Amino acid sequence: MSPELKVLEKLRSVLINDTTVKSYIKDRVYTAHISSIDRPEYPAISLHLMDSKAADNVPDMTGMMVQVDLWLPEKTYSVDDVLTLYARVRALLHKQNLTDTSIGVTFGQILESATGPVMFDETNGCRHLPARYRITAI
Amino acid sequence: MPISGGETVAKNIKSFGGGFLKHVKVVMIEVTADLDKEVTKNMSLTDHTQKELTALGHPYSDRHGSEGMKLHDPYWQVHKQSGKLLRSKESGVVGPSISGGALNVRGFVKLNEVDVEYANAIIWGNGRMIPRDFLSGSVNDKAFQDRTVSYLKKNLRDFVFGFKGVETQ
Repeated sequence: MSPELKVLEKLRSVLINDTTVKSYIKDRVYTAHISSIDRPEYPAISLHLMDSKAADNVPDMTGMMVQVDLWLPEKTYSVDDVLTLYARVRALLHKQNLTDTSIGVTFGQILESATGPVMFDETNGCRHLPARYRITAI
Repeated sequence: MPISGGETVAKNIKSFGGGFLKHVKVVMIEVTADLDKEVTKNMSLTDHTQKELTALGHPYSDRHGSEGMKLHDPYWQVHKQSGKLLRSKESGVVGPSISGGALNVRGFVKLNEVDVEYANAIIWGNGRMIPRDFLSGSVNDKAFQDRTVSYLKKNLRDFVFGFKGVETQ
């Protein structure tokens, strides 16, 4: 498994094992951008690897940018719901140190670098809130 | 609220005078003009018409990979169709200002999503297409950064420089 895939799997695992996150999206955390999923079910979270490159002078360490997209159907969920879920996801990821020996991944650093606005997406009828995390993993 | 995009930030902690402030502003105007040119280049592709892109299906879908069909290099470059998105682009310089004994100045390029509602969908993606953040891509371009740092070091010695992509809104 590539380092990038391990990171996405670990992020998924952290999110679906949280009671608050699970209360919104059950186990629907897709480890690819939502546009690649056949008939995605909502509400959901999708993880999109934006870019990755080997860290300078550190063997096996990879730096990457991952966009975490929250997708909540507008008819059922309010903006407050989106912001509540966003806050919980951020609390679980931002500045956290995570290790998973079963898949062999250690996060050197996870930092939220940018957050978009809450948008309405006409293509799926969802409220959409993206946030980007810069991650260094080994 | 506009999408704040590429920013070049310079900070100085040494002493300064009135004439120097004017010089700092002039230097940052030059840097911002260069960034604006870079952003413009990256959002002005004309090699595919809208009809051709439509015929390709969804070329920016992740079904083709995390960088879509990769029609261009870098993949996040954007086509100019009606020109509306390009016309919504704004750039400027904030400062120089003095705060906490430090002199700060920043140049920015941004889009106005009030004028162009789909601007956010391009920068952040939507249900059918991956994000193509050409604002961050432009300011993080290595050639642009090397050129800018060289220019700033020559004209604003003793400053600390930084580059920022899209910001938390």
